[in-house]
Amino acid sequence: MRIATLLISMIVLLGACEKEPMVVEKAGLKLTFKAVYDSEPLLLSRNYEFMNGDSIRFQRADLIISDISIGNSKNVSLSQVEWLGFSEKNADPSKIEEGFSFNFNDVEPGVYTSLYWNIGLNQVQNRSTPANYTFPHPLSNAELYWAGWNSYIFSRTDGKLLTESGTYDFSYHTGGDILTRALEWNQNIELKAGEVKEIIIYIDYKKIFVQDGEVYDIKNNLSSHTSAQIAVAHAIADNMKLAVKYELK
Amino acid sequence: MRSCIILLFTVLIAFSGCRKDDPQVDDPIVDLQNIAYNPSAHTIPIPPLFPQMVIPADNPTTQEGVLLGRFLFYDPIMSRDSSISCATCHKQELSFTDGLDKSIGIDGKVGKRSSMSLANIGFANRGLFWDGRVSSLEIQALHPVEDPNEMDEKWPNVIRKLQVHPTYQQMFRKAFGIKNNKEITKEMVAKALAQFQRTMVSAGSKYDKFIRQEILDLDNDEFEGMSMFNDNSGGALKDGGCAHCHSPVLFTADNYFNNGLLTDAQQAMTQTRFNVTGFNSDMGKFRAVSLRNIALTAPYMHDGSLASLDDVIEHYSTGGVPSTNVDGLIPEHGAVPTSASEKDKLIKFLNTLTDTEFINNPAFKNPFEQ
Ligand code: HEC
Ligand code: HEC
Repeated sequence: MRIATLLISMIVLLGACEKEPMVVEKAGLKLTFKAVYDSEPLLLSRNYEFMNGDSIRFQRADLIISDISIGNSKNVSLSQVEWLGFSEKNADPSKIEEGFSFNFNDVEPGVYTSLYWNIGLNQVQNRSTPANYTFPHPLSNAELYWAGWNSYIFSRTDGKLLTESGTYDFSYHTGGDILTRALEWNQNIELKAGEVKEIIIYIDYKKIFVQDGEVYDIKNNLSSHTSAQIAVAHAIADNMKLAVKYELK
Repeated sequence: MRSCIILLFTVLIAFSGCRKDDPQVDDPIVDLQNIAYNPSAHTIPIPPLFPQMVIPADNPTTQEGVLLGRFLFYDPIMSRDSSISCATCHKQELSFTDGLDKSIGIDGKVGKRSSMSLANIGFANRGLFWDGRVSSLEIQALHPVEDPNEMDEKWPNVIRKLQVHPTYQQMFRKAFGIKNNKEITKEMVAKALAQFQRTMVSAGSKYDKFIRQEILDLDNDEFEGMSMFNDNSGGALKDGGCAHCHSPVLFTADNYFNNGLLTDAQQAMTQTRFNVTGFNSDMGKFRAVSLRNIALTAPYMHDGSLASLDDVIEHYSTGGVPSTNVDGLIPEHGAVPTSASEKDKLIKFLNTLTDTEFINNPAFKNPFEQ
């Protein structure tokens, strides 16, 4: 008897559903950002073979990214700000493959031709300060704000270069509106209703220092904190852009 | 005002009356439902330029909860022999530290670490203690009672002492709405202590007045010290890099770093952040604590190994001891202030972080002495 009632109500319910206006099904897009060193997952505090017999070890590897969107004839904004805190995540050997994934489940199906994002913030975002946000919003983190620049620290790439002549601590921080780097990947991304497509975005920490065989002179440019070292910051920001690789799953 | 005094007086009498009570296992159940349970919200004022404070949804701050927390904080009832309260090691006049290199608990036992300032502790979101092994004030507050080097009491005993205590029965009723005295739990004790500690906001220093533009300027030396602290002198002065790990306005990055205090061998024998996470990258790391009221909290570091601010600046200007995981921001060859006048300026700046309003704030004082 109970089952009959249940069945009847289910049928009624189902019938009711059918009459509802057609909901257009949306598509999903998953973006996963991974830190690698020469295609291996990056593990913090591990010595990696660098160039000319030197080794390199990373102590911090973090980025603030912003204005993530995909576009065809019109632009679809996916996210304003995200935090890629590899310093914390990639400290854990069991998590280094994971990366940071962001799921956008409400995207209009269609063929998109580009993915856009920034390393760093746009100018409007960069006028805010940690006091404007509440933990755990990434921009609430005072550690990422550098009052001297009136800016967030867009990227931190800190570590040690281990050479025969000694250990060199490097600390590359980028920040200030002019150091935001806009990235664009031109690729047909077909998003189908009810399906989730994944794009993996790799940031290769070796490539930040080695581009086409050309090795960045870490020893003589150990940090990028002051205005006098702005050229270093630009070089690192530019190289970081070139250290990005995409894979459409 | 007068009723307040009478109330406090009664409370005091009640307390002194009960101190010597030896709680019985089969203590009577006291129905408390005739006492009104009507807690009023206590809004913690967030100073301009400060971040918002994250308050757990299951422990909203109330006036009754804060008052209870304050009594508990100052009450040695929490320790085995009624000799030690939280305030023994967290003294208001020292920004809630104890002035010792290693804290001394019950029976004169010396602990493993130096006490920590509680100024602005409600803003800590990424772990407490030097190694970050607890995640919230509610969890932290459960620790000292059973720590053999601190209060060395068993929670069931503390709870029994509180349950038979007429004043606490009332206070717990008013703060948490318990129906009878048997409903007092250690979680409630922890919640009340957490509520009280969240109210310990320090934002009345000279530095605060400067950034809020209530005073127009710092002294020249202080200002230059601040520039060094923030790497903001445009090359005119040495950069201290301090703000990377002691980020304004709370003067803590709320994170863990290896600032070069211990050699690899010493790190291996010490409980550091590594012992909490197990990650190699956390070797030798400790919490970069807030530098607010730093002039009041000597000796310094987790082990109290640096006696004065002079010693601290000396430590940073020499880069400390080398080790595999020492932070690159603590370089032996770095730009950290080295001349006597640079060190002096940096210390003068650190002195502007002293908040005498905070250490004299009546709201944080011992309620048993007021
Ligand atoms: C015997 C001295 C002693 C007593 C008693 C004591 N503490 Fe502490 N407190 C310490 C020490 C030492 C530390 C640092 C411990 C560590 O890192 O392992 C600390 C750390 C803390 C912290 C963490 C602060 C931070 O910045 O992470 C809080 C909060 C705290 N105590 C609150 C309390 C409360 C509440 C009580 C009473 C229930 C209490 N303490 C009793 C010595 C004491
Ligand atoms: C790489 C991060 C880092 C940098 C840079 C840094 N500190 Fe620290 N600081 C720490 C850590 C971590 C601790 C706690 C270490 C411990 O207790 O073992 C600490 C502790 C302190 C303490 C003692 C706090 C206390 O309550 O005992 C003072 C004072 C201090 N630092 C001042 C400075 C000054 C001044 C500078 C700039 C010259 C500076 N720090 C730069 C990470 C840093």
